[in-house]
Amino acid sequence: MKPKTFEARRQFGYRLMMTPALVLMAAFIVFPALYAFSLSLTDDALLGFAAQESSFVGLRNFERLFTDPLFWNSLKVTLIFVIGSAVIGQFVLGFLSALTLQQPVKYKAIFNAIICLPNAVPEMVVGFLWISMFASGEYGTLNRLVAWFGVEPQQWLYTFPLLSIIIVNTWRGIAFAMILLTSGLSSIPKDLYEAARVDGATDRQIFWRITLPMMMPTIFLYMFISTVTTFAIFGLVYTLSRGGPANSTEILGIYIYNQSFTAFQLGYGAAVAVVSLVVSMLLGILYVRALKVEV
Amino acid sequence: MRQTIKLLLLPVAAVVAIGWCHSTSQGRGEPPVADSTQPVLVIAEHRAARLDALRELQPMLQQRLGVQLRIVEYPAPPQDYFTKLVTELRAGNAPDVFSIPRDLQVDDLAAAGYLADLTQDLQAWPGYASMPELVRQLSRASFNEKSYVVPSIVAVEQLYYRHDLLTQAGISTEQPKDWQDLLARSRQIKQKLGQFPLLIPAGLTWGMGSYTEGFRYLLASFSGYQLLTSDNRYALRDPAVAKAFDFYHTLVSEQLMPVAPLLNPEPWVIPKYEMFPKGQLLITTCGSWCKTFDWGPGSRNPIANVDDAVRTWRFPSADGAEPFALASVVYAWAVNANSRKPELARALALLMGDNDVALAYAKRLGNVPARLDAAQHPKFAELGAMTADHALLPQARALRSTVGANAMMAGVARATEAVLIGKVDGAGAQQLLLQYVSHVLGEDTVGKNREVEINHSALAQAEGKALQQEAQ
Repeated sequence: MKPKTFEARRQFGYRLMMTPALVLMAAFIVFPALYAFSLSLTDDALLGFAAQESSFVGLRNFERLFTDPLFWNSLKVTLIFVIGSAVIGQFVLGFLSALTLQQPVKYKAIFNAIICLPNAVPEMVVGFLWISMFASGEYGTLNRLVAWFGVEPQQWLYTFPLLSIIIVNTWRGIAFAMILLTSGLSSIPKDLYEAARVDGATDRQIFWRITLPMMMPTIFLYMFISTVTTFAIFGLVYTLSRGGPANSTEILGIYIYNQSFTAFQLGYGAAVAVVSLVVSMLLGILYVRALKVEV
Repeated sequence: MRQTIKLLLLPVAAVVAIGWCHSTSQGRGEPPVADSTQPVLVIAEHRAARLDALRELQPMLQQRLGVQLRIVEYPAPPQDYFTKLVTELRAGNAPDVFSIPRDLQVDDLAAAGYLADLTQDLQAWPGYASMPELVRQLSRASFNEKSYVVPSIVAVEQLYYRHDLLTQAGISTEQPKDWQDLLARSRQIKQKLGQFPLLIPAGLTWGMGSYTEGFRYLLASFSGYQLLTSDNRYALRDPAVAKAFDFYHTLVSEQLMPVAPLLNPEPWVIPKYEMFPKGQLLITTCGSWCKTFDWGPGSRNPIANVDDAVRTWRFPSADGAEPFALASVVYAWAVNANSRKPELARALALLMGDNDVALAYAKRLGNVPARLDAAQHPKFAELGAMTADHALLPQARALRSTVGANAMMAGVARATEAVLIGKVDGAGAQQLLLQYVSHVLGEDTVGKNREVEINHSALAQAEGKALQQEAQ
């Protein structure tokens, strides 16, 4: 037997170390995804005769899906939700917090804790907490606050449903954005700032010419993670609005749940999940390509 | 290094401490086990009032059957309870005995093969003979006429109105004869009191209640209408369906019904628990439980002297026939088809239909026993005003359903929501319902007995246009 080289042994070691992660990913990500795809080609259901004996229906579920205005509405709502909360809300506020907390601010630890706290609360608890905030009638927390300014009690989740869930998700996600972007800011060499100041650069010039370009890989990494995770959100919106009123907050996660566990149509629900996975993957690929951006 | 080891040991210590606390706390709340050699039956239950009733009955049930009962607590909201139950039945790890929230879910579960056939057990059981025919019919699956559940309690639903406020305002409190009479009374209330007169549940967030507590009543108002055709399909093309949606449309367009609260995540909270007690809503559909839970002395917003202040009308018909009360078999007991102790599980299910059990549940839940002979039980008088609801059972009305009831109810919720937000009228809502049900269950599930045909392209256009307008 030919003796193994050092390089071969090292490669083998790497593969060995990756094996547990790969096995878990195969069992809990790849297999379920493949199973979901096979399910999407059937009329399987949790109730009724199809639950006992499902049959192959080819692409019928996908045909139904693409002609279903509620699916397209759900996709549109999801995109607005992702752009509004992850791409704009969480990123802008997280970046501002990260920049501010880089400065010598008094009581920095307290501000840090306040910003990080929402991320420590479970998704469902956040939902119930904000239900009480947005509750209609004179006893809703937000209604009590606006009453000080003479504003009549509002039905926030009815009047501004999508905006409300965007605000809640932004509030919850600022901490993650701030932590990731702070690590990005810390990795920028201090010499660059010093050199720029010696050359007479203003704060604005430093931000646009040094901070932002140096932060691009971190920003894209953040965008990638937050877009994909926000795309998959379910519990928060389910608790707050269950997709209503009038489907105005029915993001894809809710739509899949409603089809699979309210109408109990597993085959159709799986078809929507497959399409949702494809959309997420396309967005992921876009970001991965963008991550190769030259700084 | 020491610091690192300490940090690593900290979570381990926390897990051990939590495990110890958990193990010492276990068993404190559980009743003493009579005999560990007895077979164990697992029974599912949910909601505090139902769990209290079952725990109270547990020693008696254990003694009579010679088993240990293990009660598994499920999520409280009926829809969440049902979803969890269905997923466990599918996974093969569901309890031996469980209850089914509404009679119209029985067909779907039976067709899926989850329920044990109890036909012979029920026919040999004396309790079955003392049930009114309507209740017996609702315990059978419509597709094969076999019985799969043991009815225990029944919900009797009517219109509840503020007798005190209507009398004060000089508005008649006589039983409305038909829909026109009810509408005329509602307009009079709006004119004289300036409040919303009538609530009939509707919309997406009310879930299956939009059908069971709202639309079902309107359909049952047509004396000749049945939800199922003779070949066991949904009779959704019937003109009665469009007329029922039109009733909603009238209520919405004339602002006789509060719409905004129905679009909230918990749509029943504002109209039933706040507006009705405050007199901002005068008539609502409800059941015998409402005087206890919604407006009784222990509720959040109690109505003073509720038995006198709130009275009932039977539902007026659409076509001048006799007014009626609606009955539903709620939380009937079923046996898991894959139970490992099928005989004991069947015996337990039958025991849950006993009058002792039914009365214990009925009293806590505000429902009435399913058996007519419960009226002779010494504890029957403890039901108070609900005894009058029990007396309505033999003449009550109900609509049978078949496989696909969940999809049909989801369709009703969507269609009524479209009426609420002014997107469609009665005919449009019927189209939406037909489209949804045929989309989900297939065209052949919808009976072809009447003239309404589905216009898919026009509907897609209308819905797309409406969604665009909403977005703008």
